[in-house]
Amino acid sequence: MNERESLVELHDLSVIYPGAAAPAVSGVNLSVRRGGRLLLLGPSGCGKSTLLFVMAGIIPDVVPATLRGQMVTGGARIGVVLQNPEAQMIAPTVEEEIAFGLENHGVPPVEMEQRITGVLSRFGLEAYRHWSPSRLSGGEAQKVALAAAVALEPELLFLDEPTAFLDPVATRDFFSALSTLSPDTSLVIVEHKLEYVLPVVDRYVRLSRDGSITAEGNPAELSRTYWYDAVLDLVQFHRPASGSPQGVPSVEAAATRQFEKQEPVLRCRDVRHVYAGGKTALDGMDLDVREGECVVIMGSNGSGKSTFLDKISAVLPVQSHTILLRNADVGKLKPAALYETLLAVPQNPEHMFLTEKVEAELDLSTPDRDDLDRIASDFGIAGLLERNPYTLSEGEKRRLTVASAVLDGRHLLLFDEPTYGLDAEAVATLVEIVRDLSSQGATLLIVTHSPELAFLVADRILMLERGRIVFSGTPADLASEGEIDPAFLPVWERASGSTQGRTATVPRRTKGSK
Amino acid sequence: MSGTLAYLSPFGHLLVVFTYLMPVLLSFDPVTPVVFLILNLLTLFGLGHVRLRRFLRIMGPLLIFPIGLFVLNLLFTDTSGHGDQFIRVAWLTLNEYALHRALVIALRALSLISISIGYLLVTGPLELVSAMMQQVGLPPRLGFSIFVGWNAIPRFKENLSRIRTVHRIRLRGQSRTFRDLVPTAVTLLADAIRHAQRAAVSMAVRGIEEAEHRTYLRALPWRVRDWIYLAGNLAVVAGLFAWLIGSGLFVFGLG
Repeated sequence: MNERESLVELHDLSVIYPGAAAPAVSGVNLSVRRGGRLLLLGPSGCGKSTLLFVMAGIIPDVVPATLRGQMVTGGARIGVVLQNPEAQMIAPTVEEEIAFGLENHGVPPVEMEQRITGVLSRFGLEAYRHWSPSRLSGGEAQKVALAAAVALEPELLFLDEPTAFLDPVATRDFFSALSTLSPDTSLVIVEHKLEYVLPVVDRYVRLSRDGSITAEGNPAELSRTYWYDAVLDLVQFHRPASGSPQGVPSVEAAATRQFEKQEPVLRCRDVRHVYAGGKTALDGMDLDVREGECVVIMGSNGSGKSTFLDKISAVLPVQSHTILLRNADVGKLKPAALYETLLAVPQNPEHMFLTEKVEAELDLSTPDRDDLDRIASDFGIAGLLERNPYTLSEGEKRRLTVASAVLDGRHLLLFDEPTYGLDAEAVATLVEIVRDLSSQGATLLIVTHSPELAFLVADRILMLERGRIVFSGTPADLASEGEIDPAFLPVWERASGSTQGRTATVPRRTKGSK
Repeated sequence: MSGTLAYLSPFGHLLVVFTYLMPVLLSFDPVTPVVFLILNLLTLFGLGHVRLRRFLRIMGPLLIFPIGLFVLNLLFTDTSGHGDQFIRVAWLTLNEYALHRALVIALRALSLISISIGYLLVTGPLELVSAMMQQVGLPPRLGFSIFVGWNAIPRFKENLSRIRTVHRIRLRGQSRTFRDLVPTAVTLLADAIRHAQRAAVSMAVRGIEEAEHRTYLRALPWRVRDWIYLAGNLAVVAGLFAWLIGSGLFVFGLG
């Protein structure tokens, strides 16, 4: 076989989903060669995953759609890692999960044992061999999914946003595991986190919103500009007149808002939580949040971030006098009184939907039609008012929930992982929205895995580890903190080299300025 | 499975349990349920090494069903046409037919519950599905779909609780009305469908559709010992059944 033979070739390929007016992928010409490593880029909904699913044979075999054009495959062995680690787990134990594909392909049990032992060792998962996948963290589960795919000894490996649900450290670990693949293994990967994925690919293809290819080339070209394109430019960062040699923007000093003298809106003292089964999620959390402050909470999966929000919103039982909201004991407040002030926007936007129309969703938050129209327009959902919320894209759903929260007018807003499912452009929109909310005086608590979001909106960042606060300070403090894993710093901080001893200030846009 | 039963096919044990259940279901006397209840307990504690405390802890709350059936039948059985014989128990005067019927139904319920719970105590549902895929040709696609469904139960429960909480917060702590249940159900359904789709894709990309010559990491073949266990139990059940019929203790009845 030719060293650089094509494993997949697409000729003028279009994909149309049943009932869709326009193709999801339009007139794509593309080939993946043996050993080639291809990155698919583009905004949410542009057809990247569709294209990957077509090449992997998922469309139209499992997901129905009409294909036009031609696809030529060389019958290569494939492996696939999907976005959501939890949804990929089928079997009762990790070893059986890895064995699942091998069993389907009729691999003899002795060889199966060898391959399972091999991939577990390679990805550092030996200790989890007999665990139920439900006990694994998101990062561990995704490494199991990768191990399961690699155990099949694929010639071509497809990865569809494999780190979308992972924290920064797990993301780095996942790509570290990916870098151990044999150079003969071809890759096709959809991934927004360019800083991690660029070192493992040798070619990129960018799709436009209409599903056609707008650019392709060497990732080295991309790396010279992607900092701006992906995040910073979109949030209207001040681009330096002449960039640094690495293309990293210098950031301006900005006025830091002062909150210390204000009375805390929210006061948490020695907040603890132990889940049934004995796992300590919160181990004595102390926090004061002041009026108008935007506090961002970061940390690895399982560090207690979401549990902390659940405590503040009294979703979990609250011990007396541990959480005070405007001096009222949250543990004793009636729900009507507590939720008059506080609104929690969940990780899954669909959980917030109560009606069958976008307009009705917004209407629940305000009786004022003018306000509704203005906010719908601000959030780019004015054209979607007649739609069913469940039919929106992930970005649109997220914008709808945040718009509802804004219209609702409550003073304390809690956001749990608001960047899940969003591309750089949607994250940039979210940044603008959060900054607006903050400048209008809303008090915000945001749990996120996105250091970029944290650095762009936070007055204060908290880092959690095993249910305790291990860092509390401004983004600039975090950037100069030597003890914090650099994975928790945004791309522009990591790109500028050592984090030791550096300080950086992220400009805050004050109301009326951009 | 646990104890000696761990070395036997969960599917074989399921067949054995059916042989215990059938005579109890067909009987309308107080002896047959007790005989098979005892046989089941001997199997559980002798071969399954089930701890008595664990068994009682699970059975305890379920005793409400046989006790409830006993009381209901004692109080509300139509005794017309069954004579007017009464017996005194302490300060109570009870209709003899009603007492007999209540006792039979309660013992039958107790026996059926005990045999079913006993099976669940010694066999995991996933072990049973694994065994059925390998031993009776349950299609792997269906078997693994059951695994996915089983694994999704805690997720379903957690999502239900989370959705209800989010809605309560959104509605400013207002009490929920029946109408509010609709969006909860819609959200749960949408999530379940999406989860099932993802799982189907995950299985398909790993070749579940082409698994004509599927192998198994942990082979669970039907062995000679499974035949022996099944045949031995059939012989015991048949012997007991024959004795119950021969001695006139067995009374057929489905009521």
